[in-house]
Amino acid sequence: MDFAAKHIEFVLACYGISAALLVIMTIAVVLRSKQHDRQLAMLEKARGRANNSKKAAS
Amino acid sequence: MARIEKFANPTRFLRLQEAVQPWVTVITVLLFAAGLYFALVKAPADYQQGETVRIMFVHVPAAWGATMVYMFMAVSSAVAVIFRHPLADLSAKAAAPIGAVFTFLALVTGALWGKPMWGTYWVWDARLTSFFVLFLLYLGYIAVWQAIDDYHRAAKIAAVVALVGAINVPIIKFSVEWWNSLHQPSIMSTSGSSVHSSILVPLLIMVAAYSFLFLTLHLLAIRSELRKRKIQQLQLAQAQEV
Repeated sequence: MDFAAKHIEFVLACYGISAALLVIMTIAVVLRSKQHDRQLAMLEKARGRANNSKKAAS
Repeated sequence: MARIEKFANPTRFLRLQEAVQPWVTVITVLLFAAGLYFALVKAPADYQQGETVRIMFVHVPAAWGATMVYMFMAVSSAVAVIFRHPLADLSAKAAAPIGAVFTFLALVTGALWGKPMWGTYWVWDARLTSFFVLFLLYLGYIAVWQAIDDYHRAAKIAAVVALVGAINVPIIKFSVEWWNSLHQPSIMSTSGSSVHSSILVPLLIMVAAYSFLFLTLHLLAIRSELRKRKIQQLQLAQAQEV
């Protein structure tokens, strides 16, 4: 690629914007998935503890 | 249909997703690496467009992704409405933000190509306008899910939006043939391609890369939606116990 070519700033802007948005979208999807995994694990742990203490009480 | 129903079970789907996810992620990364190498290093500059021809390698895959994802959403919504497949609504919902980003990228990269080639960022031409309508449809679809709390009601209204909006996809495809358009006609047809292999190969690799990126993110997003639904069920059960 010739970086001194005419209109090269438009090409670089296209690749820059595409890379930035695709990376941000990927990070957002991964973080959201991890957050839900963590939240579910915590809830199930808490539920397990509550069930155990109910059994012990009865 | 029996095969689809096999994966209607969320547990079975999650098991499949966990097994497939690393492979599709690796394929996506490899396709992007190869695609960018061919697009930025190997492909020659065009004799008329010069270096701006390289914009095509990010614009066309984004535009392909935008329409492909919308058709996928429409088919998922139809399956949800007709067969009441429990994952179909979630699948369409999880695909929408990814499709919206692809559409936005196609509009922005198209505008950035238009300025040096046409002398303007935007014209209210049939192809550009129908693509802008696609972006609005994505936003409308996402807004329905955000605005309505009742899951089943939101799913029904969102499915109607997806199905009615699907009419726009053939309009986008044939707009350059039906109306006088500034946008060039399709470079691929059933009779072959009008593009030289030095341009066509990187273009096809980038289209595959965007398609696999969608698959990678979509699988993760469905998993996330399933987890979210389970969290809501557990929170509701806890609230009822108290």
